[in-house]
Amino acid sequence: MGTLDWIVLLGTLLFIVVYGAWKTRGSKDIESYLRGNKDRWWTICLSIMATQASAITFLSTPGQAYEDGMRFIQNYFGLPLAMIVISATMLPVYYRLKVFTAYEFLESRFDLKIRLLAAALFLIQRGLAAGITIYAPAIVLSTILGWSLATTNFFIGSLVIFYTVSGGTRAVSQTQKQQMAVMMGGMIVAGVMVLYLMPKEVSLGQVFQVAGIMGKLNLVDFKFDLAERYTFWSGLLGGFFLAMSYFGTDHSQVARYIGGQSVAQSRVGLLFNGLLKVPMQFIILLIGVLVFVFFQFEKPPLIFNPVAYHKINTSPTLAPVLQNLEKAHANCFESKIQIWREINQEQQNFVLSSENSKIQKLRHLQNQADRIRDQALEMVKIVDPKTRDIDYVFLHFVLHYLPQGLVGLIIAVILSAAMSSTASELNALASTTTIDFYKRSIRQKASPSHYLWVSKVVTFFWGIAAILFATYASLFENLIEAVNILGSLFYGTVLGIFLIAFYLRFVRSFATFWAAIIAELVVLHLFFLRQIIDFLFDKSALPLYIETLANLGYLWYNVIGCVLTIVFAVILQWFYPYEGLKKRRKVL
Amino acid sequence: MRKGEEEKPPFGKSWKQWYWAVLLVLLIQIGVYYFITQKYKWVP
Repeated sequence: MGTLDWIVLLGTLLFIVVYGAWKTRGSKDIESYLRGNKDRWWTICLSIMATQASAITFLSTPGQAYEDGMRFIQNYFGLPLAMIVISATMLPVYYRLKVFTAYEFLESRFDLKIRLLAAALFLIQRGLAAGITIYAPAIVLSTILGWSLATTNFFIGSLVIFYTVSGGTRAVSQTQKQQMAVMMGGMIVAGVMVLYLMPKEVSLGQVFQVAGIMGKLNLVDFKFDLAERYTFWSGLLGGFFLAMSYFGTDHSQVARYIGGQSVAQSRVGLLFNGLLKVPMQFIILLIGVLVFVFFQFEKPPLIFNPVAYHKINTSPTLAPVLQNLEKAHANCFESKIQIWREINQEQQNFVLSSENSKIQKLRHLQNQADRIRDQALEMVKIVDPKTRDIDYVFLHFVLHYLPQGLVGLIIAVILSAAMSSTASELNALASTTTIDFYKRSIRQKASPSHYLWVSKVVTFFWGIAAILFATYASLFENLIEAVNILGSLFYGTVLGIFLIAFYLRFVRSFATFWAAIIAELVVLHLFFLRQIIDFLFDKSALPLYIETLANLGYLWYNVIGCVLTIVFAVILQWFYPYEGLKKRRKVL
Repeated sequence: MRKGEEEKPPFGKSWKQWYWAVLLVLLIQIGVYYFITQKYKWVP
């Protein structure tokens, strides 16, 4: 990075942080500090989008399109539907009850213990995730910026703590407007630049043809196949399910829209998120595909992660293997570029037909190059198991091909994304700790300034905890995986509770609380089923369905937790119709 | 009840029209993406 890049990077970040803190200074009560300042719809929409867009969105998504094509976009098809359902049903209830947190609503609908159960599950899950939100980009950026992991964590974390503690929810929304502008502006500039850097004889239409030939424009697949990770159906159903739980019950998102000027403003903000999110993901994925096409005409590295490459290259056992793979990879590229030149000379219009034998040869060479890269990535796993090479694809392009100044802008995009999602998480963690635990259970009657002070201290505490967690995350084996699993263990149960609260009015607190506990125990037993089987039973004697359950992917725990909570609650309500009736408060 | 809850949606349309508009935009996008997939699909 050159001097100009550093000026752009630090100038952009410091301007956003200082302006955000200055503009939102002087909160005098928790109403404006934790609920926000009656934002208009565009602020709400940008805030929702900025919260969801983490740094990994900008690091991984183009890399994913580079490797796997654009089919990942199908995962977002359920999101607009969820925005409609949340706008129509959940949002008016949150407004009517004037809640500070999503979990406060659960006490109005059920009772205190369900509120505290959901709030505690959120704190565990989101508290750990906040550390990962800092750690995941820091581990990539530290290799690029040449900083230590601890310095990078501290840099991201301390900037976020500064303005989040100072201005609360208002500062989070205010800064997210600018951060989102930087993110979208930076990505559009990157997209234009990659097109500009393509060979002059290749037009935009031909870029798409090349991408299609190489199988990267696989946007929609209507095939119904449970084994396929991304299809239209899994995207529509799974995406809807995930978006409902994330936007409807996770307080880091709920806090973004309950502080709006009115129901109408929040509703439009949510609906605009539904309108814009899919095209935004399309642009980010398209940039990854454009980078792939660019590397059809420009020699790509075998390994994009510079630190892993250096480690392999200096290893006495791995270096010779790497050199052989690099030679084979370079030969593949030379053969490909030769064919592209021949096609270009032969065909004036550069029309690419699938019957053309040269095209088939190109596909074959690309497959060969992919296999060589797969072998190289096996070595990366040995020397640097905590990173994924696709996270470095876009950054490699930015650092090696974009002019000075724009490199700084793109790094600012990634850091802005890290800061915007971390700020929302810290703010939501502070709200939940202060409102659901401190104000509700520890000290119910205190002055507004006291609660404001507590909110600030708690925000600071969560910020420090996130930095420490991010710094020491790498010391533990498979910690990130564990945090992801931990999230999936609880997310389904919480969504189940909220769905009962909103849509099954006849189910009361007794049935819901015990259904959630039983469902959670079932999910935990499923999670530990492998260990239980290995300890207690002879593996060969077990039926196939038990084996299948023991090997279940952890994302399924979301669905199982939610469905079991609802089913158990309905059954318990049937058997104990009058239990807990007296305690129910008719607020709804 | 919070002030402004019955506020009309911006641009003078009903909320139902807003929901249909979001659905329509999603359908148009899926159509465009499907068109791109088919147009540039490589069939060996």
